[in-house]
Amino acid sequence: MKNKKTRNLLCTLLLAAVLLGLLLYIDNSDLKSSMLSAVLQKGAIYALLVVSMNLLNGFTGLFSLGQAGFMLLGAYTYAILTIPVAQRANVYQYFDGGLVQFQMPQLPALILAGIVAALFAALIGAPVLRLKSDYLAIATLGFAEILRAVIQWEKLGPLTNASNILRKFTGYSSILFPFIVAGICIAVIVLLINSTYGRAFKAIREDEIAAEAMGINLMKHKMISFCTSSFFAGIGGALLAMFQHNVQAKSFTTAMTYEILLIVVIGGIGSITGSILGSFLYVACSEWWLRFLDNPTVIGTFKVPLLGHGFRMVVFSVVIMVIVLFYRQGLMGTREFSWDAIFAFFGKVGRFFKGLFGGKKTVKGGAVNE
Amino acid sequence: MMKKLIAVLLCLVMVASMVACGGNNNEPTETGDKVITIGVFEPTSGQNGAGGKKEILGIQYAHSLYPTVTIGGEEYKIELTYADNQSDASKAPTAAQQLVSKKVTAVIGTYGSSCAIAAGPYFEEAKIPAVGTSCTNPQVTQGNDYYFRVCFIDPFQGTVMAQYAWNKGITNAAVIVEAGDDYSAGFGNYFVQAFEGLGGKVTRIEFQTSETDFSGTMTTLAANGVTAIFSPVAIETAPYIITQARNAGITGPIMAGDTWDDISIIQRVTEAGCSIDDIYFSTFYDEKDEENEAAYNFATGFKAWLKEDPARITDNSESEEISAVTACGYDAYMAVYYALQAAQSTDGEALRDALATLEVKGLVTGDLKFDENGDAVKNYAVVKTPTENGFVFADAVTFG
Amino acid sequence: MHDFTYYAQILISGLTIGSLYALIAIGYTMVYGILRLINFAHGDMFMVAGFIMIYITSWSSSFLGGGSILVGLILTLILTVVLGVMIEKVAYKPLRQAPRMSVMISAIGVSYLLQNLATYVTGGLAQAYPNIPWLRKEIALGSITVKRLAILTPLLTILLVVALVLIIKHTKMGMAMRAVAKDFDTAQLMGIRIDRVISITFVIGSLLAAVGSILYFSYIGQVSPTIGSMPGLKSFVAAVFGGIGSVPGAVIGSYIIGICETFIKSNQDISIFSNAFTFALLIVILLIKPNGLFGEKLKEKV
Repeated sequence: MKNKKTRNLLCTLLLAAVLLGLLLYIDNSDLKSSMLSAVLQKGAIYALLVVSMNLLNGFTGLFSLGQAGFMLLGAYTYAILTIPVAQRANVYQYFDGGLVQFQMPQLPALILAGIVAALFAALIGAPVLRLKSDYLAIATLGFAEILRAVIQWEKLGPLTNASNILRKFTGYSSILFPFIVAGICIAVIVLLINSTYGRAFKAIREDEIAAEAMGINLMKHKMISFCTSSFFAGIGGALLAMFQHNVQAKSFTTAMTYEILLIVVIGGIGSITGSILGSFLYVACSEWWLRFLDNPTVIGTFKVPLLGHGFRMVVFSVVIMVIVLFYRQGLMGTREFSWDAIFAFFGKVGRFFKGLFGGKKTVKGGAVNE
Repeated sequence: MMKKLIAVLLCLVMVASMVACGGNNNEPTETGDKVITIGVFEPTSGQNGAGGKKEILGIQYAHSLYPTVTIGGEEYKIELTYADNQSDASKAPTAAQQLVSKKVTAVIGTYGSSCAIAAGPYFEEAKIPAVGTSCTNPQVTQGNDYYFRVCFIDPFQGTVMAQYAWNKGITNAAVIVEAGDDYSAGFGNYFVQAFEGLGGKVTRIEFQTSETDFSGTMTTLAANGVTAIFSPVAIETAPYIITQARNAGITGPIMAGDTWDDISIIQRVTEAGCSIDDIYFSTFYDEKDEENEAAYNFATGFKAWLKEDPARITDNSESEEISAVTACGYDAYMAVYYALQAAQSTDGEALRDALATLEVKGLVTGDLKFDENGDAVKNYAVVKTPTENGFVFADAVTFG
Repeated sequence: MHDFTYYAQILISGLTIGSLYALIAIGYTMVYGILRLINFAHGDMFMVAGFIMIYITSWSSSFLGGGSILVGLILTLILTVVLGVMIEKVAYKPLRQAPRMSVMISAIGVSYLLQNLATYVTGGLAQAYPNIPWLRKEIALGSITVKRLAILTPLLTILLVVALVLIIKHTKMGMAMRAVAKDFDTAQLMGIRIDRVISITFVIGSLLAAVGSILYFSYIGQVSPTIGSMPGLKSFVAAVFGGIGSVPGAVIGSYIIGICETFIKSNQDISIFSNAFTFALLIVILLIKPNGLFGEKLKEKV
């Protein structure tokens, strides 16, 4: 048992070191401007967004569709606070340089982005969290839409630049930045889930009435889950703004929330590692690997059928429907990644091949002690 | 067990294919020709998809005429590679990144200012010069050394249309723009500034993306005595504005900018049983102008090229009309082409410097020269109006 | 400040929009009443119905000429109904025992699929809706002239709703529907063929969505792949506002939202809030009267 623990710890450290090395290498080489680097950065940011949504939908069982709204709040707070004063006249060109005339350092602004999102969550949470599942979904969805309209309102222009684009705010120079921020945030979420609060969340998810009967304060725990989730959605939104170098209320639509929800489903509702894996997989597929589906291709004289503009998204939606209908567990179900499972799996693979080849060949995984 | 094994195998195949895909960029083609890749950064989907496709046609036509360039005594084959920015500023960065990662020598595009603004920093960081086609918002090139454009900009276009409306005797106009569209909102603002400067009264209205019903708005405008509408919006929204304004009894001129240079708008309006009288928009050039030899040659050559392939006509909004944005695509390609010749190098910085000092006479939309911002120096705009025989020239405005 | 004609005109616009919402909202309210499912794909069905009409008329006009519109109308109704029932069989039926969240995610997935499929097939661009000249004729009502469409839409909506209410109240199928809505499991025990009732519900919902799509797209003139989502959401809000499960409630909710929205749009200072208003109204009604205006109290199952 103890051996296993040391082994697992070693493996974790090794993996972390390899990943860090890989990132450092990418950061300092030509690869920095490659698709790989873009996908990794966006994947890390999406991982945070998906995990924060999973905390609410997967672990607490609250079906909220307000993610885009809280991301919007975070992205805007961060952007407004960190545009250099000298650039403000340029960015707020229709509003005489805007109302805010100072620039905050990056980290406080980032934290403030989360806090603003959490504050709004607290404000709306008190009434909305009383609603039952689907009403909650539609109310939070509506709330996000309201936020979007308010931010685009011309009267708020000096603050939000109305519907115009915000840019020139502080970005990050090393691709490690989103990984570190997302890593810390996800670690905090994991700690929360493994605490007594986390157990209470799961109890609420399984059966609200039973949980209440057990003495769990429903409202309080739902509030904690909702505000924490929004806090990290806000930070994720700010990271996304940094990654994109610009932010505009127009793009934070319901479709964005759906996208994140679907990644939660792909990864497994109620699995943190599933969400993380799902995010990287989804971003890599949609932005990179499956792009070829959108281009009509001719091999020799043979025109590959079906390929063409928009086909990638069709394939995606079909895959998602298949997952929803037949593999409702997603990648990970409610399980988490563990080294034990990995080693057990390789052990099985080893035995499988041994079986196939009559046990004559030794396979790499077969050597593991069990 | 089997399922898991298959999953692992699938993952391996994916990784392998990704490595394979990533590896073969920028290598010489089979024949051993030297290749220069130019990135085409245009929307082919979303609300600006129709416009993006037309600009691509212009670029492709120019490419078909000038497929190679000689640098340092060696002939380079020019290849085009495409990235769809989906008309969405939040999708534009990854599309831009895609071009950067393919190590393109230069970028052409885009239709719609929002995506150009969003993608600008990526091209600048990678030191890849970009030549804008019809992105008219000033912010595209401001503070970005690597973004140029071949079209005029909104403050100019806004002034032109405000003056045009004023000359028509309009004193009370409404500006209807889409929230979050930098082209629409920016252009609208410059119109408001210019029109109020002339002494006119303007009502400014913003609507959210994907709005389809303007009947309430139009009824109020009509009741408030508004006699003209200025609405620089996407092709998709234009028919709603025109038909619903007419239905609400606004009979005065309806005006817009270069986006309305698309015959499908007029088809929709006619199909809806509305008149196409009194619609005016500013645009970059007049294809029927016989004094502009380059434009005439372009028009005849392009039409012949268009007819060679039915797919091209489909991309041109199912018509053979030439939109000004197609000419912009052509000119942008030519700008890159001449800059490559002038720089005698494929290096980003050298190419940028070549663009900054480039002077080309006789392109389709006039002589080309960039100012210190990277904007084409233009002092000429055309106002067109639709008739039964397509768009015809209504007025030409020269400033400064 | 304004004269009577002005308000009358805005009111008529509001009624037209409200009627269109009503036709979609009924589909939502009936499905929700029976399956407790927000059928997010309903708004997209409405969009697909629009494209079906476009493709069928343009295909059949080559050999039918003027008759293509009629063929288009009929086939649109039929195919939309087929699509609606198919969606239920494929995407919702297998999940009947699954948690509510899974079904809702499935609905979002279907909506995503329909939108992406439409984008793929159409190339992502808006397409012109066939012109039905009869609907466009103008008629004078006192001091204002309106299109036939504007009068026909509310009339047709009211007619369909009355018919529907009669069906629900007085036929055997209607009784079964009410029973299933009241208590799913008991109804099943009583020998009601649940699957048939659900299918009929989807048939009615899709049929009304198809009628709504014909009227709506004739009104605005073109169809694009994402055009269904906003009217879809607003209709759902209307259904909640009126009390989910109640057909007259959905209709009244739709008219209130349609008229309010048009009045908001007619004021330039706040016109950008036209969508936001609808959702604000939803949140307010959920807090004050969670069952909507005419909704029955849903019992909580332990």
